[in-house]
Amino acid sequence: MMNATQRLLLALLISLEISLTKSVTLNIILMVTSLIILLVKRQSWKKIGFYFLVAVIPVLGTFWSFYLYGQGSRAENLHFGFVMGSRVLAFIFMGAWLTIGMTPYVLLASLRQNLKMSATFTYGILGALNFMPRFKQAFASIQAAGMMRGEVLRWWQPTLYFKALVHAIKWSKNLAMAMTSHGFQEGANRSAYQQYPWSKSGWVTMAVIVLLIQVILRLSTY
Amino acid sequence: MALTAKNLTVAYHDHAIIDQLNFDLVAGQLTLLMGPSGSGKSTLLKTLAGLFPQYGGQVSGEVTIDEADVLAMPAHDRAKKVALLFQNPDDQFAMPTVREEFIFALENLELSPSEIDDKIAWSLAKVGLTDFIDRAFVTLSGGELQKVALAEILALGADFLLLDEPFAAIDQQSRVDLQVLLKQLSQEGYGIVVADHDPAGYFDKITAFYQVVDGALALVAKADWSQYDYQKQTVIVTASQQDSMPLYRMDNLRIQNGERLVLNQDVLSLYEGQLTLITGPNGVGKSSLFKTMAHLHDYQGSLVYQDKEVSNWKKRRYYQEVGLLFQSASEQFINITVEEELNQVRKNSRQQDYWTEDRVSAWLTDLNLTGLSDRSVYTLSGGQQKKLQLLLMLIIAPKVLFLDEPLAGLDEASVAVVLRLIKETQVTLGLTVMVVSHQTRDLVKIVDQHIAYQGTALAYQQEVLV
Repeated sequence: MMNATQRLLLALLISLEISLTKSVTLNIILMVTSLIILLVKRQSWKKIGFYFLVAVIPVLGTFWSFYLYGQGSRAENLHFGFVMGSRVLAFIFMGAWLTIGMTPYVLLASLRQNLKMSATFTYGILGALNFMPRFKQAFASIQAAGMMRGEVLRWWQPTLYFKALVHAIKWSKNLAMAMTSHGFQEGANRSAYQQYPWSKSGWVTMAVIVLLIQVILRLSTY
Repeated sequence: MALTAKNLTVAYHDHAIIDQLNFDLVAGQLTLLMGPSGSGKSTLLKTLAGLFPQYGGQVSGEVTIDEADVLAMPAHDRAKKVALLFQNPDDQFAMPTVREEFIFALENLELSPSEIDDKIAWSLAKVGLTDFIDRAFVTLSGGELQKVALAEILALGADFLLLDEPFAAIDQQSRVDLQVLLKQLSQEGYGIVVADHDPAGYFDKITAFYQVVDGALALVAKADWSQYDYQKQTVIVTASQQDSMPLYRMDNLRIQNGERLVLNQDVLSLYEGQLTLITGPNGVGKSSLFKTMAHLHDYQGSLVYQDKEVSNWKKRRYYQEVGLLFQSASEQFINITVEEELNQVRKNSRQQDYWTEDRVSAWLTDLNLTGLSDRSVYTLSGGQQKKLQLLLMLIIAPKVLFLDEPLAGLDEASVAVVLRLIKETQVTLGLTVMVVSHQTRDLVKIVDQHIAYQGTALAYQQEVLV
């Protein structure tokens, strides 16, 4: 089985491939395959429905704009509209496949071990993700502070972001201190509780999938 | 084994917070540090934990553990000897769950997976939270968070534990539990320092007691401890609510703070034009109450302001009448310089006739805030920020003003001026003011009403313990 880094690499590779080719067949096959994996892995219907919902506007939007405003013949425009629309679908469902059972922690830890990404960067990102829910609260409190002083701070006003930045700087400094106090030293060696080794069968799987894609591209006519 | 500070000086912007301080913490000691907010307790503990000067301040003198220089040690070596427990339980975890957080910390020490498992199990058992290993931090109460934080520094193997107001955000029972736990740990040989502004519950457990005075530590002789464990006196506050109108009405009001129910209130009314003091033990949920009344926190049941549910008020309209003095002054500021802030509130004051330029500048003089016009509000000292923040909100002069710890970090002279400012403005403009403060001894001089927590409910009480 592929580890998290290999899955990310494969997803990037396929994305590159479909960005450079114009096969509706391939895009649909990728999307359907991802969807089948999602179903086999028992992802909730709500989640899958959400992916479709997210897809509706960009898919229709890209399809119509290429179909209506393309430079070629009508058939060419129709084809190109389908290519672009199905490409968006493939991206969304491959993204969904990528995230199955993968937490930011696992992905970042795996990238750190496999690609030697710095620990400071990894834990910086994880810390920032943990702060996200608190931002919402901070925004509400900043807006209230403004209104209490007769000033309505809208989302486009820099004051709001300046204040949010003040909060973020305070939090990040506190967190950095806590991390230091818990023994985190930039650049120092750390052990790894969980190993995320490159998997040989993962490489084989990747190679097979990439080959299969070439075959599909050869055979597909639309 | 000892943690030693010699001639330690810590300064911010050339202003010494800690001045030529000498201190020894021997293994097996449980030491209490007291001193008003802003006296430098936090700065001292952060320096002893080796976080300063890396995270601010200029440090001279030395901090050593058995001759080894704490300030020069790499973090992963230092964490095995000394660690700090922070005041705010929310800011000290980099990971979302207990297990991931402990793994993060123990990987820093290059431990193997089996050693990590052992340490986690051992340290969680020590604080009695073995079942919490897979819990997410968002589901823990303040007391549980602090216990987990304590377990984490135990797991790292620190012999010296420094705790910076660890009980500021937790309930009474957790405070007692943790104090007992600290006593046990010190008997096992840990050297522990706790900074706190409330001496309750310590004197039968500690081995040494210091006051932070003028940037140095003054040892308090054991014979004098009883003075600090002050016998509270009772002051009578006369109620005169009959002649004023109810402004707020609570009915079966329930407020949750995370998982914990912090208020469960039957019917209670708050009256117009009064200055009301609300008292209760640390961590009982006073800030949550104020946030709720300031439309910043959800609630169940009913909280009516002027015949309309608070949750049904449009925030924009509500805040024309109601203001909250935030516990942290910087949350109140919306401009950069002191002058911009003052101009903004004068322009938006609900009482522009009262707040003439002369009156504002007279108060600035009394508050010792003159000559700061061009200064950024964020570079003012804690005390200056607090005074400015209060003046700004009183110039705005909303009909109802909630003051959350308005005296925190102020010296005695400032407290006197601030009390005069609050009372004079409140009486002249007929404002309704509600105050939460630890400094009840000062505030009781100016309050009209007193409401006290009894468990998780509020009740009017003529007697105030100060």
